Amino acid sequence: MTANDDPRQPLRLVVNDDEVEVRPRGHHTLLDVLRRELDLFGARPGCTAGACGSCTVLVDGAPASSCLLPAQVVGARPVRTVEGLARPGELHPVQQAFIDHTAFQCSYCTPGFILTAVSLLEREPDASRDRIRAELSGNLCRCGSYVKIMDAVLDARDRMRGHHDDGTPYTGPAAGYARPSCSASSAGAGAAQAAHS
Amino acid sequence: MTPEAGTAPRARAGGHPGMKAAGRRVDVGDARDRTIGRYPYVIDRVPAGCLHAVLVRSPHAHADLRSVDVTAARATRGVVAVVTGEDLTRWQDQPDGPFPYYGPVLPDRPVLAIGRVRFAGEPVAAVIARDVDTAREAAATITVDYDALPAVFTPDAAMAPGAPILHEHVPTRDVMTFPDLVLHTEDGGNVCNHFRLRRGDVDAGFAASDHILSHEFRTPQQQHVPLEPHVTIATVRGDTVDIQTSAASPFTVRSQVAETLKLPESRVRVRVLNVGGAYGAKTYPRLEPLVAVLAWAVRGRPVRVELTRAEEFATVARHSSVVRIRTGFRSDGTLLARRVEVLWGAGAYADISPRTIKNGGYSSAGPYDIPNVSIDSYAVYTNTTPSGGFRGYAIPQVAWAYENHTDLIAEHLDLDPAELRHRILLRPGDAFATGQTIEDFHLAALLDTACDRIGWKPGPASARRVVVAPGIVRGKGVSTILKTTVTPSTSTVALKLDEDANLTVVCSTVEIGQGARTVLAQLAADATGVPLERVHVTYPDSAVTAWDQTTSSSRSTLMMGVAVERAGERLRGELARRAGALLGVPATAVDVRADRIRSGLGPGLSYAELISRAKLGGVTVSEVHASDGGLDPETGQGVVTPHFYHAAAAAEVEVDLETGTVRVVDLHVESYAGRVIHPTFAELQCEGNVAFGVGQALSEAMVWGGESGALLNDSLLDYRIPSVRDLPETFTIGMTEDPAGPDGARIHGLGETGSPAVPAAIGNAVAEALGAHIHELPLHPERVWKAAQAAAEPSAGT
Repeated sequence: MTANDDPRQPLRLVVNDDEVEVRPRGHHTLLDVLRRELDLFGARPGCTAGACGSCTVLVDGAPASSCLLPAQVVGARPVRTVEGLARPGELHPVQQAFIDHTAFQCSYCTPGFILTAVSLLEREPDASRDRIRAELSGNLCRCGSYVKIMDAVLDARDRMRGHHDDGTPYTGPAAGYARPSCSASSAGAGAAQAAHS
Repeated sequence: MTPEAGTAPRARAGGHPGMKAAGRRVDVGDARDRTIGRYPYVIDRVPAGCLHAVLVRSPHAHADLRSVDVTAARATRGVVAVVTGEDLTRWQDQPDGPFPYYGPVLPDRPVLAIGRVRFAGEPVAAVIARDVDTAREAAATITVDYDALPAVFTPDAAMAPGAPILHEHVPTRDVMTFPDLVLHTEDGGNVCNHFRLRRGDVDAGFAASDHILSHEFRTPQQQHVPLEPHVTIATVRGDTVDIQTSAASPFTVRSQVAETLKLPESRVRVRVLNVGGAYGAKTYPRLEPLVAVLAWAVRGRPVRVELTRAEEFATVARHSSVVRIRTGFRSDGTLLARRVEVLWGAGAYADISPRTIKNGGYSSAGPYDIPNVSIDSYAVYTNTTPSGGFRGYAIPQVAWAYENHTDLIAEHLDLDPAELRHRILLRPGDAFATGQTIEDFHLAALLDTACDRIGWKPGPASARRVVVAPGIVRGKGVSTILKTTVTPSTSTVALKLDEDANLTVVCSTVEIGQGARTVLAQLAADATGVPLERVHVTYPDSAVTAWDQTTSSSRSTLMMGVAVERAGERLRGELARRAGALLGVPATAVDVRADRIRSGLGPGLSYAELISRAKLGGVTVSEVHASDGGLDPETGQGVVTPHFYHAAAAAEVEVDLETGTVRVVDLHVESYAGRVIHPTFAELQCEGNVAFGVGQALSEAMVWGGESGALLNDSLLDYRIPSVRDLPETFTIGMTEDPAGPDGARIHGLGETGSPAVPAAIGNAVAEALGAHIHELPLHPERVWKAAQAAAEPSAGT
């Protein structure tokens, strides 16, 4: 079948709480539809093999690689993209934590990381550091911002559940979460260190 | 800065009036956009009426093109044009027809293959259609008849007698495009450039040596894997071209596209947004000349090409290398002579190789005091993806070699590897291999910091080796590296103070994730006295923004930063002059700082009040910052860099001798920063250097093979880049600043500095654990297992 004899078929999707009608071809993925028809650019093509997580969206609350998911099979399951995460005037705590920790460089992968973290923390509010690391390992950040991404997600977890691991109430993001603060030092006077443990 | 700036609870932008923005973790102006999916990239752009092009690529590494049949593709409904190398040849003779060959140094690469393909993945034809689906389906109908030729994949094979020759003739331009570049190119072989360095009398040095050691080291090609692939949109209207592209050096794109379409540079407009990762992949024109030609073919309509991940692997790579290094030294470790031969796998076209191999050439001497040095560095055509700069710019390959070599010298002398380095490291006042005097250099202190951090126990090789369980062994290793940044080099900037006293930094530095727009805003705020919240930095637009050489080489904070600081000084001078005229006092009696203009006592005027009262409309100034230098073409002696960047790393690894797996259990990388402008972005870059170093050390290699010589791992399923779980379990980064304090401290780029130190430190740690050095990267389980087996049987080793 070619594009010329694969006519576009109307399809109803629920994206970010809105019911929308799109007209994908049979082989179009959810990523194609989001970017080409709905002008939602937060989900991004990275590897188109389900290996990098740049195209992550939430389908029925679970992370999905929108680059592999045919639009036709989404059905009535609600789709959430990073554009639909914040409430009016209020960012999701995970988004806020990414800002507070500057957990990005080129930022192309950021929406995918945020959505993966949101889904995990909604399912497992007490997710451990190891659990978070494992869950985030399906998202790749080539710039290597992982230290601050981990800091941000741990901070968001505590922010969402209201307390730190040791039970003390959450009062605000620490400067340099769960690690010594990192400031520059003079030659020979000992290094500033950002521990990643 | 966007209106959203300031919502984050820490690192307020404002501070008290007069407080410096530089050196603080100020808010990132567009941080919110980055988290809500509204941070713009060129890949998000699809202009109205845009056509889409898809490329047909060669499956063969080396073949003559017998025929390209595009009949069915041309007849496909929705296809607007199909372009092949034959079209390029035909158009070449038309007065306004495109010039079919391009390349940043040598115009050796056809926009689409003409007569022959030289690597698997080389574009052979392009289909332009109303949508991507149609273009792709029509492209699938194109049949190409190839006549396969013998192919070579490594630089040593390509230099061997009888090797297939990729280019019978190496074309050069009349005007050299790179003032820092020395070109030695010859027809009849596969060498597209040869860099020579000659210092002292290397034969006499070897003759005076107590010991001489020689080794060979190898590294494979790697791919940059920017998650945003190359994407370019081009429109040709009349004698103007509009290019939107994901590129790190818009003016390099402009000059290439101008040459390709035979237009003055000013008729080519290049716009860039945020770039979704580059790491060297987007420094030189790679996709733009082709898309410009396609746009010329369908004049009037935009043409867009977005590469797939597999195509990204066929676009640019890090050079493979073979490093043969020979050093003569005294029994106390003093180095007397070094001879290095470096062969670089340039891939099928020269791209920036002629320059990369220069930097990789002189840098192969290492950060050591060696009076007699002889270096020959060759860029060698191979039938692979063309190689270009890649974070570290040829230093990661030679550092892998010279730092393993340094440890082997220490082992030979039964010395502590850190102690040996202390004896031989360059110190301020010493001369680098190019003869340039070393200044502002602290590598010995960085090494101590790194060693202290991981608990380095002094002693010769194996002093830190620990068997933690049967078959599980730990070892530690260190490395010290030096890197230069391009010179001569020029950055220009305009500062535009508007009537409401908002400041626009009009410059062409590209935001590639390094935080340039934030850092330049900080420097501009401090230099002008305009509060940071009112400073905006443009995206590059060659029609509007001031010229810059390139966003690469860890030079933007250094070169553009100084240009911004000078322009800020000029702006305050201009405000003083205008205020003096308004108030009837000499400019020297006017004090301009922190958005206040004062002459004598009293509150004075704000910048906006001066602009309004003096009816200035605004004030715009511009500045330039240029560095000098260059090397002698025969001896490689001269000035190579404004500053010597340097870093030290120390690693602890655990090797499973049964499986060959390497776990980095601890790592510290200490980089010299001079002066840190935005600590968080500086940390992010240093942490990124760790991720790149770990990938190079343990997993990343492009593997060429199969019947046709294709790339076997051109997807992220098979070419693994580090995830959060692949980083060392514990690692730290440090940035050492000028011990004299921030005033007068020089800015050292950090974007690449730490990266080359990482694989070498890990390699030396693995060597201690195994009791044997592995000479080739990456240290994947099979290779480590084999080395462990060989080390266990001394008779099998050499």
